Amino acid sequence: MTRLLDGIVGPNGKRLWVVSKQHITAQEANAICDWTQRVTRGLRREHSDDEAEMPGHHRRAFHAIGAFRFWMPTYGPSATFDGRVFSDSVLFGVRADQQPDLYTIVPDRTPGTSGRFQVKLGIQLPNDKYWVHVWGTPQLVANGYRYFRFDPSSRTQSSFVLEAWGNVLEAFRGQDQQQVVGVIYMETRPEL
Amino acid sequence: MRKSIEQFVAGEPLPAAKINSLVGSSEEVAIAAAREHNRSGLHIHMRFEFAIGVFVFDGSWALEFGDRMSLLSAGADWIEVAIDLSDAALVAPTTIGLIATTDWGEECVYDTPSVSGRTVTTKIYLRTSRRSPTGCMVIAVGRRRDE
Repeated sequence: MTRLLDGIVGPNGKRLWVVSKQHITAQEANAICDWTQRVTRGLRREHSDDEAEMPGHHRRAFHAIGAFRFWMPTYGPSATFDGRVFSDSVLFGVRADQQPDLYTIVPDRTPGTSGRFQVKLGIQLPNDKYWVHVWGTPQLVANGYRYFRFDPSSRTQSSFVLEAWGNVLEAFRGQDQQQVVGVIYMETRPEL
Repeated sequence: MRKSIEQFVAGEPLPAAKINSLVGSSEEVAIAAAREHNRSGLHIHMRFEFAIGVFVFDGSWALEFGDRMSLLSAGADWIEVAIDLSDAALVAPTTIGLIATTDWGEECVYDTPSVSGRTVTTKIYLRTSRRSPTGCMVIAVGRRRDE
């Protein structure tokens, strides 16, 4: 059975109610201070208590800081589709429908680079130590499959590169479009 | 949850009702927090993930960042990792699994995790159908005891 985090309690461990017209003493004030410290100490283990970092935000790296639902660009002689990021994508609690440049896909159309595209971020990340995983792969495409590579060496605080690959040309060129979700994992906890 | 925005005025008596409002609010916070956390602030229920390690190859494999996970040793196509259970033990040795993917997006296989005291170790094989990987993200999922 989980023990509750105690509320404001007195030395006997019971709630420190005050009777009407009774004088407030240092005991009550100290119990309030003690409770504040216990709550802060407890919640800081797993959550942010910094106003700038959004209080309550999970600090652990396995709690994703962002996710973007997208279609990859197309490649090839007549390809014109530059990809699309859907408006329910999020980064640090901001949705793409609130900030349209939250995620921007920039295809690399250099000959011989089919499948590569840069993802620009509208919010600068605290550092470049993060990981992006595209869930929902391998995708089935005509006669084959498609994966997305996240190259760690491409990371900056404001962009990274993804590369579609697979065992058939359709995988690289973006035919047989299917929505996928890229998730950004990052440790935002300061040293404890 | 009730919002308690109490203001005390300097030089005036401290009304019992305002103090009691704070006491009551603290109780509500405790009840709300206890739905997801134990009294020390750790999550109490089964979480889909409880540890992570991002490993990057730059001449040799190293842990770039992580939580409750460390690198024990590494070879050309494998890494051996340790997962720290010091804040909560597994319900049973079998209540843990890994999701490990290389930078190519392919999942890795791993040896059956070995539990010894408050540490789990396992070897992850970084074999891909493409070029050698330069990164690997490992997420541990499992059920731990409420302590």
